[in-house]
Amino acid sequence: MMRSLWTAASGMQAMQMNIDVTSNNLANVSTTGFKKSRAEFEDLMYQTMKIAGAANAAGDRIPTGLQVGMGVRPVTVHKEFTTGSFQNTGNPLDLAIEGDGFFQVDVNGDFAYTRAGAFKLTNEGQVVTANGYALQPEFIVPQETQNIVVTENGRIVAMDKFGEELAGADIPLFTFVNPPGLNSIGRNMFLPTEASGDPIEGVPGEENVGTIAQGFLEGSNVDMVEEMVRLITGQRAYEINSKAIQTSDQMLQTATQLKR
Amino acid sequence: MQTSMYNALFGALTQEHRLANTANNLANVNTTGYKRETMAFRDVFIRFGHGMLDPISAINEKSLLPVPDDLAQNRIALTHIDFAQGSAKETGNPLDVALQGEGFFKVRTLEGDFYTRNGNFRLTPGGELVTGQGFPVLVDGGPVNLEPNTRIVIGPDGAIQANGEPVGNFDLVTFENPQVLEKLGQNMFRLRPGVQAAELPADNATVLQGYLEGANVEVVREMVNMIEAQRSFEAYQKVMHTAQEADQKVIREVASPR
Repeated sequence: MMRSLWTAASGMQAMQMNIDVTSNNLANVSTTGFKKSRAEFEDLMYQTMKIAGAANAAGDRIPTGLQVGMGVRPVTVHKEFTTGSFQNTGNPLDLAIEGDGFFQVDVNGDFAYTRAGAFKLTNEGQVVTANGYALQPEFIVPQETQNIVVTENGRIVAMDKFGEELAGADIPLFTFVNPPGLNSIGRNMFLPTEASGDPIEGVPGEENVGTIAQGFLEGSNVDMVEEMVRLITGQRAYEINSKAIQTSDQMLQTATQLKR
Repeated sequence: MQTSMYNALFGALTQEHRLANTANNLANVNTTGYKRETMAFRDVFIRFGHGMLDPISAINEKSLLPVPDDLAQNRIALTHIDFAQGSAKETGNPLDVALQGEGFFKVRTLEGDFYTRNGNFRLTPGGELVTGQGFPVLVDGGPVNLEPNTRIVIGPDGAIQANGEPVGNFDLVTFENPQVLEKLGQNMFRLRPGVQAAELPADNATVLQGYLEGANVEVVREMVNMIEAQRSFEAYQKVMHTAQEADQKVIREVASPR
């Protein structure tokens, strides 16, 4: 009896985690460059009550034995790096990456990586993210700039009113062997970890690192319908596990009523 | 009296066990590649003592005792893994693969090669293809490394291509009778210790890229199981109670001084 109580409790805990992850996805449904998370589950260990192949009282060999499982646990919560939908904004400093790459930005001396390409200019003309972190390599737009053009291959050029190039730089894109291993630090940023591997620098347009689209932003890759379905299945699974606890409880009650 | 008490006890214990099993199936209703477990019961026949008597020795050649009868006591004989296909869920992740049909992916761990239907794979920093727990997935008999920044395409036969170049084929295996496998936890199966069974190539299995296989637990069936277990448990409690009452009655009435 106690076994089923704990088994069902593990089920409730796991589904709680599932709903936590899903609600975070739903909360970020409009966050630029957000990547959804997914919880994965695995079954726990099994208690072997009867070993397969053991002889029973009649001398026959039991073909498959008797095992009882101990429930479920979350094994990973990983990010899914599928591409979000692109929105046309027309803003010359809105950059979207068509492919797997990330922009590198300087967060207080450390390099962080992001796909949220809504860049802005500081009062000194530096290209920074919406929260003020400088795009790497640093690029400062001269005062007389009228127009900024970013090519597919990551060349950013500041032009004056005659179309003359005032300054230019190349924006590299970075990829990781195992992007789900990246550490999310919020603010649409990721930090490399031992699990993700070191960033691999690449030129946009080469080796599948992706190309840059100017005037576009990458939306969140959260699919509302999918998350709602996940919410429903998570809730129902939570419910049925609570039912299993109820049933165990009622059976315990029945057992205690044996002695009146 | 004792017999009915013990019959009911074993019956109730069995139901408790059955509930533990049902609870585990329900707990894993969202576990990728989980296979539900069922229990098989068998009854153990206990012959009434008087059934052993030589009928001739009955007084006046007329049997005083009722006809020998068999009393059944039920026991759980074994658990059985139901390998039926779970539903496929689309994830869109290129390293998520689901199997359609009978078969397993082979996974290498420190304790030997295990089998799984959970195709939620990923890459290590070194580029090795591993399961969620970090165990290498076997491709052409060994672990495989995939180059970064390549487009991975996995064909229905389990052939992996990176940027159009063949990398290898998943080791997809099956067994003549999958019941030679036992569950290990972590969504993995292994051969039961001491069982010799040859791996066969899983010819009927199709690999679906971008999908994961859900658990094959049917909630309604498990709920019905649970209700049944609970009600039987109550019934056995009644039996025990009745037996106890009968006991009391015997002590009170038969043994009372007149």
